[in-house]
Amino acid sequence: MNPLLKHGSTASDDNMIPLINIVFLLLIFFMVAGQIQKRPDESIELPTYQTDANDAVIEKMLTLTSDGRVRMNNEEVAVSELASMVGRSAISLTLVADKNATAKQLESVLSVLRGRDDISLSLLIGDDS
Amino acid sequence: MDALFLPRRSKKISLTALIDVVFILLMFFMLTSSFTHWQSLSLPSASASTTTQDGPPALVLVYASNDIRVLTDHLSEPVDSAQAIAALSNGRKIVISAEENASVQQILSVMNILDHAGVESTLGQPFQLEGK
Repeated sequence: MNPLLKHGSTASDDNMIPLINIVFLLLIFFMVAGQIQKRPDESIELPTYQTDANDAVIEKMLTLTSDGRVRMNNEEVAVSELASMVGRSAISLTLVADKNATAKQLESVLSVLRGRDDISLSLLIGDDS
Repeated sequence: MDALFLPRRSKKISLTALIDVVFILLMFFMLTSSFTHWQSLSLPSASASTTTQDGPPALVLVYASNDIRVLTDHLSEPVDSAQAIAALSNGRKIVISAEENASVQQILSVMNILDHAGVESTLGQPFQLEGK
């Protein structure tokens, strides 16, 4: 009998080692290359803008859909409640506006934030390609 | 009593438990991580009063029909370049004002044209065409 031939659980564990190697490599790849951050709603078509701006860091996300609905961190809010939702503290807001939203709808959001010097507002833009 | 001093036999841990945990971690990182690099644009919105020492601002009117006109002392003919807008604004501060029905993309396109030409602009309130 070949002494190298193993039986039972030890043999099945040895067969799993290449699998574990691959899974570990995949795990390390996703841990290093990926970023865990808030993502805008898939249904929002981002407006395009050619710029070399830095990568966005989304802290608080304010979404404006093409039909004028407003969401704060994926929770739908009325525009009238937006001021109280934003609060009085200094925050960094990222506006995710659909490119087909109208200027009037955009103004309904901006009018709440206008005059608040403590709010850093930025607009998320899509890839031009 | 002697049993306390006996060397402990090393017990092999089954790899199945390890791979279970690694698979769960892999699933977590695969589902939560994103490879898209989002870019953001700082939105300088014009304050309620944009009148400066240089006089009232030049309004760049963005129509839903894609026309761009400059309003200073009079309303200009449609323009299509940042240079024309800068010339018509005559050194005044530029505030972009879009028609209520104009899209966000139309506003950003005008901002982009001005930005590329090195012309500074802010976003003002929208306007409504008479009779609409």
